[in-house]
Amino acid sequence: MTELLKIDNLVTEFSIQKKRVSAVRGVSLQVRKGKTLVILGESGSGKSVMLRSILNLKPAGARISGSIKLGEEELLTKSPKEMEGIRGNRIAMIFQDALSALDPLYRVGEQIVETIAAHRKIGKAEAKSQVAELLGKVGIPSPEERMRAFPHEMSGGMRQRAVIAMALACKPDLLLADEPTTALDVTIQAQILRLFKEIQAEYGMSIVLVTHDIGVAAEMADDIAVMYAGKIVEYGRARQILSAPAHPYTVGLIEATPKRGQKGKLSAIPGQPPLITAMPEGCSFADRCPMARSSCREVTPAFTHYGEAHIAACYLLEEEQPVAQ
Amino acid sequence: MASFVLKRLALMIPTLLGVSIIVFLMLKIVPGDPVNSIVPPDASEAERAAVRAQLGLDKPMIAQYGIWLGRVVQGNLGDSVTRRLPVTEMLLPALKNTVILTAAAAVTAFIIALVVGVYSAYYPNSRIAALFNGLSLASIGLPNFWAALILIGIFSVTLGWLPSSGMNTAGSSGTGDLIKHLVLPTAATALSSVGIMTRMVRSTVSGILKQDFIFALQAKGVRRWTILRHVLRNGMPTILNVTGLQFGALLASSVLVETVFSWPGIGQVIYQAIGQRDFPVVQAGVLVIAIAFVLLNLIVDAVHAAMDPRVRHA
Ligand SMILES: Nc1ncnc2c1ncn2[C@@H]1O[C@H](COP(=O)(O)OP(=O)(O)O)[C@@H](O)[C@H]1O
Ligand SMILES: [Mg+2]
Repeated sequence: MTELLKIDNLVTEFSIQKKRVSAVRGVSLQVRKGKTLVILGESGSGKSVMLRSILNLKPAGARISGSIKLGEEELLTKSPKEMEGIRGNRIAMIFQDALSALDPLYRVGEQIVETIAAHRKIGKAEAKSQVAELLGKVGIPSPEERMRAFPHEMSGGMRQRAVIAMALACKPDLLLADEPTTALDVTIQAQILRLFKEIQAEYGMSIVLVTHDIGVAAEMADDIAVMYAGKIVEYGRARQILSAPAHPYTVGLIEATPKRGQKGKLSAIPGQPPLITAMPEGCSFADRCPMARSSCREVTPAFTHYGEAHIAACYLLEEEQPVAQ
Repeated sequence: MASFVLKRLALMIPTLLGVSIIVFLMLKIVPGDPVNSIVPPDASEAERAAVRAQLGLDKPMIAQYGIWLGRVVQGNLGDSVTRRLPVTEMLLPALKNTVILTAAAAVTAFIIALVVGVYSAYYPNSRIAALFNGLSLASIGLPNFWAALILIGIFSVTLGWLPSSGMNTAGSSGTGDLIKHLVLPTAATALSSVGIMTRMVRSTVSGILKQDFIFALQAKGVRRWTILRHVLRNGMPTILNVTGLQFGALLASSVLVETVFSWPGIGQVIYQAIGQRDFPVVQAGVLVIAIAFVLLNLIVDAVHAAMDPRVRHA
């Protein structure tokens, strides 16, 4: 089996003013062992909610349904206690803003020790030496000294490295990273992405990387899932999607990205994604789609297979390039 | 840390000077000639002038203030007019009793507010939280002396469980006896602050629970108790700060409550002194309370700084 994580028809609902609204509306995905899946989409498309749902992290009143399988184990039926044992241990998560993801009043080293102590029976001294080793591994100079720093005493890049070290503490099988470089400047961003590749090569873990940046996707992805308004609209091998995008939304995203050396204005996709409180009938991208017709607004399009590992949900494709399964 | 405290101490000086001026002027503004309460009613004008000169009342206001402040700084707060005793001898034992009552009320209010506030923040939609919410609102509106009378009515008069006045039963001086006497005044003093502090703890904790790092802690798979520890650690500077400010309110209510329970504290001393127009005692009492207030604020700030590395380094 090559899949580590298999998500089927995942739905995450919130209750907003006593009404149920879905931020994730039936997502199905697989994450391959040792590979990186990039979730690509504009802000508000439900990427963060989906990622948190994998760990069954939700605000009070939210409901998650569908199926999330880690190996053979169904995560959605696990007890809170069992999930505690999986979080940070077999599946670790990294957030966009390392400063707000760390407790400002605890030393960075203490916060990493805490993660190890939650999952391993280990003495204080040994935990500390492990932390120093981890910090060294993620490229933090003089780790013994830095572990005594408070989060606000570190630079943004160092902080994100420390958070990555924390995520690696229990050698997880799966790393969930929610826009881990968005808050950093370009050079630091490149260093952090390189670090992800290095640790993946060393630990052999799978990574789910959320981003709205096609450049990051091109750099990192083995597979790409394009998310729009709580649904996956295109999914497949990165090389195929980047070179021959099928869904008009993906095409729009790629066109909106400046090519290397190319100046001039971006042709951003006009309009805004729909609000989760007011989802239209049919294809949720229809209102912004240059190729939409009336039928698009009636029934939601199903996935069309595009070769073995490339699917997209658009009527246009059904007609133009039907591919036999 | 030491430099932080020194800086705050230096900042206290203008505040204390201001307080001393107000306290000094207080006596100058009250109607009535203080000489009247010393000399016999039939004293001659010459006798009155002699007393006035002896008290320094014939000098200009600024000079009077300077002399008075000079004495105060040396710990000389003057003599009681009615009891012919140094004021400090009357006030210090009373101050101790007031501190006992205020501290007991503060600790009680703090513990109740912490438990109830944290619970309500964790389970905002629970019935228990709604009940506490109603109770805390009601307690804020209830005047302390009124609460004191109700408590006496129930627990002393009707049930006869607890004594309603004084600090000790005559002839006994055990701690158990003291605690028995302390229960009702403490409850009456703490009451209104408990409500405010509970609401404040609840809003502080629910604010912290919404922060990203709580989510990140959950994502690390640490136990609930570990998360609670982080929540408390983050809430504590704010909670202690507000508790410190409530200390002022507690001090004020204990002064009122003392008179109801005949608790021999500074409030009772001031209350009696006002009745007897014993102004040096009133003046000194107010000054002592004001200084206690300012010192408390200093302690609160220092604790806050000690607990939050970001404040300490700023
Ligand atoms: N706790 C919540 N309660 C209600 N709505 C939420 C909550 N969290 C996120 N949402 C909504 O879910 C949608 C998706 O949000 P998010 O997953 O953060 O988007 P992305 O990460 O792709 O930018 C947004 O419309 C957002 O307002
Ligand atoms: Mg997001």
